[in-house]
Amino acid sequence: MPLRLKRLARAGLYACLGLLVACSGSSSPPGGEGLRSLLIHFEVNATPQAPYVDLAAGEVFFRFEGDMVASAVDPATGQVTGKGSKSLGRFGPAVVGFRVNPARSPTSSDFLTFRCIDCSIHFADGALLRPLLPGDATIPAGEPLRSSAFDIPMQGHFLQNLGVLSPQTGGIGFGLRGVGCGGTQEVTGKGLLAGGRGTICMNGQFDFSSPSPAALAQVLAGFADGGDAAEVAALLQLLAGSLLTGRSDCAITVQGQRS
Amino acid sequence: MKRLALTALLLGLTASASAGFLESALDILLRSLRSFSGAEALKYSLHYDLQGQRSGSGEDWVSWRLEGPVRVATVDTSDAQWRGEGPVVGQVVEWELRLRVDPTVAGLPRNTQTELGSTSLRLELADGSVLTELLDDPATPLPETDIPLQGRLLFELGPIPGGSGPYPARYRATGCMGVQGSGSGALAGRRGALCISGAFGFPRRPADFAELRSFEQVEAVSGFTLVLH
Repeated sequence: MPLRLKRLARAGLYACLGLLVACSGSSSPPGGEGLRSLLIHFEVNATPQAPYVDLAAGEVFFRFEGDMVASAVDPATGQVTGKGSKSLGRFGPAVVGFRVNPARSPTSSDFLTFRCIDCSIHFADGALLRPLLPGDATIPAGEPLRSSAFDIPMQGHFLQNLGVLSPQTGGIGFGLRGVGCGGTQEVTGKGLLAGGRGTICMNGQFDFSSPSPAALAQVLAGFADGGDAAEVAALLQLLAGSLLTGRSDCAITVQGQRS
Repeated sequence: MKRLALTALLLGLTASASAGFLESALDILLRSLRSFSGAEALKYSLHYDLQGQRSGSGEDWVSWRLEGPVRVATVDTSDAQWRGEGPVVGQVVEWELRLRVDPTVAGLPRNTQTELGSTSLRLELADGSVLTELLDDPATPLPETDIPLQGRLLFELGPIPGGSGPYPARYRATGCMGVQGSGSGALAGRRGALCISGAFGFPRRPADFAELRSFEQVEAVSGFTLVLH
């Protein structure tokens, strides 16, 4: 069959499937019934966070905070076309650690990872998302639902192995893709996500303002034969020494209690 | 003495070869870092509804081969609610997912004791784009970009309330993986990541991993974001 005919046939098939699905009247959250899901877009700025740098652990710390709105999606194609105009609240403060693993090559997504140390998301409808913290004995007032018997640690990865991107904020520097999922829970019993427990998954970009891509390449070249303490320190200094911003569409999906 | 010397020589050669391969892979990456990717990122909000058949199992793992439609996951911009209600825009032709757990655990494993990985993916979109995994190919001498699915099945969150139909026992699943685009559509030639945020459904609540791996059929339903540049 000629290629054009094949494409037409495939487009026809998808159109038919589309009609079938439309007729089925599905309107459940993307994970199925019993779940509550949001797709938000956040834009955050970072400031250095004590203890700033832990050379022994190969980790540098930031505090992120910024606005969040809904992601805007073309309902015909699924393409994310931008963002909504209505503020949904405040993303952060989120204390995040970026960790270098010199045992892995920069070609691996395990070379540079990130984790959420203490993250908050404040929704305008009163919902407050906090990490799942097992054994947390210091529950602040206003977070009555916070205790948890288990954890879902954030597994964040920088994708420097996909190359560098132009900063989304413009200007000099470079952007790196960042992805990851971790656990979260709504702790006030208010809002759309009231009392729910589940996950948050980001699929976005971090922008570093000051170093050039060439400077990053120069530092990463030092890891060709496995990085030593000096090379880890050089990379941490590069990461910590610039203004840092982050942008991402972010899926939040929870289950359980709703007040 | 001769044997020791030979062993040392072989070890030295192996180390040199390994270092050489690593350096070559890194060289490619470093070259790519010296200039920006010119392409603007394309982002999608999608949803899959897959039926799966068990394709293998062992003491500490089980794999399922899944297929099914992909449709648009819409967003209400007033409150960000995400729904899997849009038209079909693609098809997961094949996706083999493998769940690995700690076999020493009694009952179902903890969240941190599950590893959900992917051994093959082919997702076809209606515009002609084809997405496959972005993994190192062990058959080639040089390591390639390697972004395997790092996922988890979250049994500790408990079964999702309100389950019905043939797979009423549903548990949350989450994770991200690298993907590359080919074919003739907008994503051809691009690379990026896919992050899932959904659930796996089973015929009944399993008491432990031995029972879970005995299920012949499963379903996987999830919203997912796709970002490629």
